[in-house]
Amino acid sequence: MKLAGAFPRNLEALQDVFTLAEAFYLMASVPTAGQFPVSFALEELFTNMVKYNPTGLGEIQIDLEYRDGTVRLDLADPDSDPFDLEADAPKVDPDLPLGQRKPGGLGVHLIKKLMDRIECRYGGRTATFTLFKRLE
Amino acid sequence: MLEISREASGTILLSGRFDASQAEKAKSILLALQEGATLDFQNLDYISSAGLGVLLAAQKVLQPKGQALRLINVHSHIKDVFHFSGFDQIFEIA
Repeated sequence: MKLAGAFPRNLEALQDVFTLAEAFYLMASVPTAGQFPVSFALEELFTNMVKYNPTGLGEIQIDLEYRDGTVRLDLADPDSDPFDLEADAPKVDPDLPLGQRKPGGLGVHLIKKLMDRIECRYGGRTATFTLFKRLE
Repeated sequence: MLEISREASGTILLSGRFDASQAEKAKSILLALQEGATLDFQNLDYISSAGLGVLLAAQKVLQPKGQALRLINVHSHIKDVFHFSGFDQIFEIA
């Protein structure tokens, strides 16, 4: 089962992104336990695209697929510089005390913990992130 | 949508989704706290890094005063996020 949508590059579109995800969960009968990590990854990547590339052209494309017990999530920014979630995201030390904590990198850190596999591709100005979550 | 209300006991009840679109609203309430408080997450279904960032900022404001936020009734999937981020060492979670 697949569902897709394209969204303008602003934070106001986040609710529409969640609406797409919730329709997908319902139509594909995605187990409840798997919905949180997928929604989390969706929000973090979408808001990063909005926040760090606000002047990019075109809408952000989101594709969701549930097959053989695995959710596949694709987010594509059609006008972006290259960005690798593994290599380029700020590293987070979860053992730091409160006073030494600084903003940045936490969302990607948590995506890596919550999702099973992440792939980053780049070509023709399009940056695509593909994430997988095994649910069965 | 995130709703924040205060019970007669002083406990602050968070309900709904604490996502990036709700962070500014939450910041205006939680960063204005003058003393520690208990946050009840019983009806909080979702939190993202934007929500975590607001909680962290509020805790940073309170710490020099010897005050802190304390969390209760946290759902297991949100507890996992607190654990993976090390926030379970920064917040008392009952």
